[in-house]
Amino acid sequence: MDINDYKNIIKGVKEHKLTLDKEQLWLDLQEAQESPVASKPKSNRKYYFLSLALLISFSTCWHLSPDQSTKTANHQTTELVSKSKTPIEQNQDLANIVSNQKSPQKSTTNQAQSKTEKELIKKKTSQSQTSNILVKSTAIAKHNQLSRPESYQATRSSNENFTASKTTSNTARENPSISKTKDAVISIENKSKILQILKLPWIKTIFPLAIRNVFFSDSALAKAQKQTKKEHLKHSLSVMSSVGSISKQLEAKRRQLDGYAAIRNRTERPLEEWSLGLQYCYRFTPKLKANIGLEFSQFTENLSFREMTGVDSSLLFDDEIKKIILFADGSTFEEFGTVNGTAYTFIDYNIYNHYRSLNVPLSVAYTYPINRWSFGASLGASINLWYGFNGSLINEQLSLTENPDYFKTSIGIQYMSGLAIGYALNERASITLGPSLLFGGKSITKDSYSLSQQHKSYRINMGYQYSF
Amino acid sequence: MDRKYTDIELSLGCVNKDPKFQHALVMQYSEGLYATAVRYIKDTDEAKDILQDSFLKIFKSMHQFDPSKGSLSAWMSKVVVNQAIKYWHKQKRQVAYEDYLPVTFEQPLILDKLNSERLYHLITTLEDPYRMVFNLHVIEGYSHKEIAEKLNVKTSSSRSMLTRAKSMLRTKIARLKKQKAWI
Repeated sequence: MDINDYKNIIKGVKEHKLTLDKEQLWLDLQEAQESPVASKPKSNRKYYFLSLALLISFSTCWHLSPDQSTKTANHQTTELVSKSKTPIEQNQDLANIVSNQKSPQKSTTNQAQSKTEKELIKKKTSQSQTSNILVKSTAIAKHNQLSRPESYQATRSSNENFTASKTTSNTARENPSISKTKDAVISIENKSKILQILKLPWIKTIFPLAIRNVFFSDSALAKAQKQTKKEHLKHSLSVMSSVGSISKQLEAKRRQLDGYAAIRNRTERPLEEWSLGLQYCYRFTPKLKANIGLEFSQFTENLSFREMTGVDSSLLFDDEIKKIILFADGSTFEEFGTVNGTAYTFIDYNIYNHYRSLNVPLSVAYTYPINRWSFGASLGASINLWYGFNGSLINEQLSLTENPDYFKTSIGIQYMSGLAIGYALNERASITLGPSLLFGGKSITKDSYSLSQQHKSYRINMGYQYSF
Repeated sequence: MDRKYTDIELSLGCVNKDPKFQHALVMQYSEGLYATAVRYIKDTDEAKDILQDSFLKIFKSMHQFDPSKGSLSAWMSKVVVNQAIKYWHKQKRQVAYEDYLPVTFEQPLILDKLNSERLYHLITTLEDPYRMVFNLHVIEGYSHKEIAEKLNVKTSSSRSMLTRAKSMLRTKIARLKKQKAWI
């Protein structure tokens, strides 16, 4: 057998035919074409995965944004404490308050002492049948016992995304030696282009096509690599979301208000930030692109402190333990009499403040595709269109102010930089993930307010991008 | 009897989603493509499913067909092969290729008195991974590197599976000769 025979046999195998009910096949095909979704057993794995990711993202956002009442007296107690055992200094100045806050252990010890004494008083009261409390005066001493000694910083920011689609330049197929067959090719290509344009009413196709391609069609994945080599898709739309943390810089504009700034820093604890937005991207080249978007972002901070108020500082407790003498053998001698005392009210405040903004992020990104993956970096700025605050803050007089008018409605520009990893789900759809940082910009407080406040934002961005 | 259309006519008609040309395409090529599908997936029902999916894909992406690069039947055959491989992957028919002992020597495949029909039926009797590799390499002309990418295996595994497939075919032919079933 020579090589030609061998080739003929192989060709014969290739061109081998098997009988088939062609009409039945045609009917099945017609049926499948009419209901394309029902014709194929679709894999839902990707759908589940992406849904889960989105669910986690959104639930994290909601979970991290406690929508509680901004002013909550969580705990209110009134205690009668022997004055001789817990001396309270009234009319403390700012410096004293700050120094007290710096040593929270001290106040804890005092509270423990008070509790012990209270128990002793109660015990004694039960022993003596004739206890009598006289209320004489109503001098009130206010004492803010601040329970958050740590200092924090805060921020706000915007997001950025990167494309994951792999694109190469279009390849010209034209050849000068055009034959009849070539004319037909051009004709087919022209027709296909027209058909593609006709399919393009993207409002109609973008979501169904994207969802079909991303979630259901495995064949689209195989198509992706070939297709993206031929096309350079210049436009894309992204749905972006991010979660992150913030740091806040709160500084006094005058030196005399350093103590007030310190109190604010210790009582306000930035928690988290989230954002949600849309972004349009234009590709200059397959690797270089510009982004513009619109996003809503919110960050939350927790204002937590205890307010202790001496309701009455000149109480007289009759027949109370005035002195206890402890002997070496363990026995005690208790001297009873009339003692002075003060009634205190404790209010624990646990308030969640919300800072909200509407931003326009602008950026330039460079991406480097490797197969379906792409790695990119971006630089840009975020223009702030609107800024809002909802919550309560401690004012300069150390009392609580609800929705204070300290903040500007617009704060200008912040700078942003980020990195991202993208993964192309098919020729048009991709998902991105990466960190970004927003920094700089002007103070968010008004010029008339005594403190300046700036934020930095550290975000993890997630996005779904559709190219067209 | 239906008129036989040229490749260009059929492709243009299908690009325009004309049912007449789609029907003609099915009538003209379905038997050959069905044979290709059976060559990869032994089960005839499964092969019919693959054929149906392939035709749907062909109708959808007919605009990608380039007559200057080859015939319509060759292009459609590639679609069927890719669809069969995809189906094969979906059915998780991958086997631990390393479990199969590599054949360390190779002899030329005896093709004396072998015709295409016999070879076709012998190929369909091969076990799954060997049949795939044999089809892709010997019949379709793919390189081992391409096969490795398509089947998610190492290039060396593809080579050893081909050698093994040839060896199996030789054994089958020898057995048939012994039974005097080989004329």
